[in-house]
Order: sequence, then structure tokens, then C-alpha cells
Amino acid sequence: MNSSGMPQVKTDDIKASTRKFASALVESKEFTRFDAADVQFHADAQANQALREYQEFAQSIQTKRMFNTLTPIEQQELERKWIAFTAFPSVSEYLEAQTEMQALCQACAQVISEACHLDYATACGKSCCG
Amino acid sequence: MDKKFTLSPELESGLQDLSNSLVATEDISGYLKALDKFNSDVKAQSIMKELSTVQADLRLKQTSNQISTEDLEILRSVQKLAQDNAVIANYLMAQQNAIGFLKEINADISQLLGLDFASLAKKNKC
Repeated sequence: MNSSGMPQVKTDDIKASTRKFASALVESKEFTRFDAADVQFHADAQANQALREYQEFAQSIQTKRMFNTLTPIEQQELERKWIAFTAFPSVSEYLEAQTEMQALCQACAQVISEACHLDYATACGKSCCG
Repeated sequence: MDKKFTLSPELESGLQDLSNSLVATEDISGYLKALDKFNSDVKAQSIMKELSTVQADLRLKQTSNQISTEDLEILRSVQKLAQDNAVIANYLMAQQNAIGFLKEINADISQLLGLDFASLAKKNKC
């Protein structure tokens, strides 16, 4: 028995199978693409600047967005800054790679959820409100 | 349209091993047993159905500010029935244990990946 009272062989099984699954995920083409896109995006200074500009503007009008009181000009400016940000090739590649990675992780989580009869992502994820 | 994902043989194998290991653990197997008992217990199911109905009724009344003291007493009474039912209590406790265990597994997976696996797996985003 280990310190948690669980038979040692089961703890080892879990550790080994967790490592095996994580390794398979890391070796997937989706992870490879996402990892490369992440590095490329973070190295793109102009794209990061565009992101900061978008985030700063979005932050400045956050209350208005919550109460749906944006002026047409503010709405247009928000959209313009978003389009400017996503126009960078490193950003569009990152977003595409992220979408594929999310789809892969959802498919994997679905298998675990069905085995455990619990929604894995809901059980383990942080709520979107923090 | 959702893309139907084809998992690689390595991932299929990894997921199969992980799933088999998970359901063999005390926390998950205990939860599955408690779930089975909960689903097949007529009294427990009846109480939960009643609780669900009372809660739905209250949510409706809340929109028009019509919740009475009697409504709240009915809610408390049904909640107490649920709390005092051993099958329901055991199921909820087992569920919490299983969720806590899966969170630990997710932390391990995420550490190996270098990113939060559960966050990427979440379907609906704000």
C-alpha cells in the first residue's frame, strides 16, 4: 500500500498510463503544429503589439460591452483592431493550430468521460468566470 | 460543422490504457458503483426528480418575484429528504472524490504537456 492507502501497483499503473497518453499527445501532429505556432507567435513582435493594442482598447470599453452600450464607432474600432491583429500570418496560424488542438483534446477527453461516466473537461476545467 | 476526429493508433492505445487504469482506481470504481446504485434506486430517483421539479418551479417564480415562504419551506423539505437519503449522499460523496481524483490526473497530464489539457478540452467557451 502507498501512503494514500491505494495498492502500489494501481498508482504505478496510473502514472505509467498517464505518461503514455501524454507522450502520445505530445507526438501528435496537432500538438507539434500548435507548439510551433505558439513559438512563432510569441517571436512576432508586431503581432504581439497588435494584440496589446486590441486588448487595451477592449479593456477601455469593457463596461460598455457588458451593458451593450458601445457606439457604432467604438464597435468599428474594436473590429478594426481585431482584424489588424488576425491579419498577421503568425496569428492566423496560431488560431488555426489552436482550433485543431482543441478538437483533438475534446476527442480524447470524450473517451475518458465515457469510461468514467463523468464529463472530464467540466470536472477538471476552470470555470470561464474564474 | 464538427470535424470527426480520427485518433492516431498511439493515442487510441494511450487512451485505452489510461481509461482502463482510471476505472480500476478506488475513486473511479467507487463512483461507478455508487452511480449504478443511485440510478437503480427508485426512492433516490424519485427524490431527485421531485427536487428538480421544485427547483425549476422556483426559478420560474423568481422571474416574477413570486416566491413565497411556503415555496422555500417545500424546497428545504425536499433538500432534507435528499440529504438524508443514504444512496444519494453516497453518490454525491463518491462523485466529489472522483472529480478530485480526475483533477489530480489532469494536473499530471498538463504538467507533461506544458499546457492545461482540460481547458483545451472544454467545448463551450465564454
